[in-house]
Amino acid sequence: MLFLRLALRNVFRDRVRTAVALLAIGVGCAALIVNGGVIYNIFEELREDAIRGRHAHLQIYRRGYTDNHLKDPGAYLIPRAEAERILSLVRAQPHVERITRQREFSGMISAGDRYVSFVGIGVDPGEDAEFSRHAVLRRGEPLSSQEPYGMLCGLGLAERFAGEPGRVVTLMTNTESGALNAVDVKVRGIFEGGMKAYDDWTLKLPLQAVEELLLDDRTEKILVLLDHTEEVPEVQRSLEGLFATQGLDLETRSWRDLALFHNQVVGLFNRELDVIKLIIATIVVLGIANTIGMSIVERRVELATLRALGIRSGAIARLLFTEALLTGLMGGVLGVALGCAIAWVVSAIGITFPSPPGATRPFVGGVDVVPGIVVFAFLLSVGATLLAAILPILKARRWSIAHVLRGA
Amino acid sequence: MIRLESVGKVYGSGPGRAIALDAVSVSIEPGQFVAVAGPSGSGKTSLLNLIGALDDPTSGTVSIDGKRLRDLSEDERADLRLRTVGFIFQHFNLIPVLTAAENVELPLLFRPIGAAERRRRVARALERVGLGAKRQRHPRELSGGELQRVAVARALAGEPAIVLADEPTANLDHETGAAVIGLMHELNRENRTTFLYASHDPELIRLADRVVRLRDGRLLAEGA
Repeated sequence: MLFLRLALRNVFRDRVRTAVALLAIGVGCAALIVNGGVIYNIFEELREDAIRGRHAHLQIYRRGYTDNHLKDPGAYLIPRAEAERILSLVRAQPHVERITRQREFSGMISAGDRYVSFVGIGVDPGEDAEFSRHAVLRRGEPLSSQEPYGMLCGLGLAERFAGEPGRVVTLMTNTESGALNAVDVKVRGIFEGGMKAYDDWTLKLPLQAVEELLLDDRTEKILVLLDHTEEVPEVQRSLEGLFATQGLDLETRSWRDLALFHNQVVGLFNRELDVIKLIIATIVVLGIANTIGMSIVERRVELATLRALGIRSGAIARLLFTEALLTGLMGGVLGVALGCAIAWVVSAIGITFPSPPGATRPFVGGVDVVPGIVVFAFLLSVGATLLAAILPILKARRWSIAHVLRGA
Repeated sequence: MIRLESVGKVYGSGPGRAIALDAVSVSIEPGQFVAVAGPSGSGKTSLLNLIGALDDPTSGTVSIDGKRLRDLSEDERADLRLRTVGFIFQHFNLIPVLTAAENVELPLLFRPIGAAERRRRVARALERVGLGAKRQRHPRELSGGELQRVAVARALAGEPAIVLADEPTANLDHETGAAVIGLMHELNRENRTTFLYASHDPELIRLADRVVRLRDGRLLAEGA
């Protein structure tokens, strides 16, 4: 106890120096928490954008679809009756919030003298709003089951054929047998999905119209939204088990498998976060090493006295490490408090982030207080402080007691 | 018994080398009260440092109870100092953030002594030096004489066989210095603890039972 008391009193011996040291550790820790919180917030935004704007939590296809559907699209479509059975089975599973089927197709838009290629998605108009919650309707109205030939156009695609709500255009496509088919549709609205590549090519049309256009009511994919994103792995496992027991030859893909843009951004930012962690740890180590070094040098007579009194150099090293540990713990606590306070204030105000690469719109974000990041920042602060103490402590162990006491 | 045989200590090398001790041989019997006398730079501190295993001689051997200090590891030397040797320094060398009692207790923490026995020893040592009432005072709240008495209590609480005091009165007025030496002498008689104290004050040197005189690192003469 006296040992700990001595360490604690030594920490507060020079209050100004201790305050500066705690501030250095605290600011480093807070910087990690805030930076990590901002990046996590961006990840969350991108994740929800991918889930609620394009991919849903899970997608279900005929087995082999992912690897082979481009070579033989018709072979991996699910007949209507089977699709209805899947919908009803999956809808009854825990955590499943919404479920819908989709059919992708491609073709040309004929609008006056313009011919523009597109990628179309046949959707259930009653479910599309929920599955596209992160897409913004820039003009016009959402899809309606009352108007099966009313479509939504991506912003970039609409610009290419001067599409505006109310304009009627002709969609042309090939059926599976190769026949050319066409249907007149009205532009109901123009949406912005958040990704330029998506908005430049995509239109959405009620499944009823798509099935008439393709002369085929089979389903390409079934999209599932869950109540919580964290449940995806568990639900995916349980669905795969369900399909196996029900004799359904299906495969599932999670949003994480599909959201390549999200994954790239997360990979990039995580690397950036690692670099920032390294920089902050280095700054803390260098700053604190100097402070701890000065504190030890100034107390060299005292430390030599302890050794002269018979206290082993190992025990003195433990004392100095204990002091560094206490400094690191207090700096870490200060940093956590500071980081959380900054996160709270910044989140209350909101930060407008410019659109990320490939995205079309800026977004207002905040700083999430992420428990894992907070714990990591705290441990890093303590660890960096201990690391900073190693060199001065090793140096102190090499001092000659007689030499130091002679100079006292 | 403390035995020094042809002990030499040289600091530095080449033209700047300084001979602190030159072929000093001396034996100190247990329970002796010995003054190490000599002017500044005569080698008094070097002699005490070698006996206290704080430094190694350049030549010769130093042994305590037949144990050659040169043969001991760093930790073994620390253990020897902890159990057998008590130190009193010219500048008191108390830990400023600890109270008088805590300063006395600190070295005892590193010995297998229970908390109750530690407290008893601390109380007894401080009572013995007349500072029982000031046990909770910090060094900054004590006078020079009181600080040195705390240092004496710290050296004695571990019940060492030998106490080495390097100019223990140099920072005290004459009267207080004499009182400290008087206290050390009393303790020497009470406990049969061997005391070696370095001083260049003739009046304080006269208080010793035995005087070891040094000049330019050489042993000059001995006398009671």
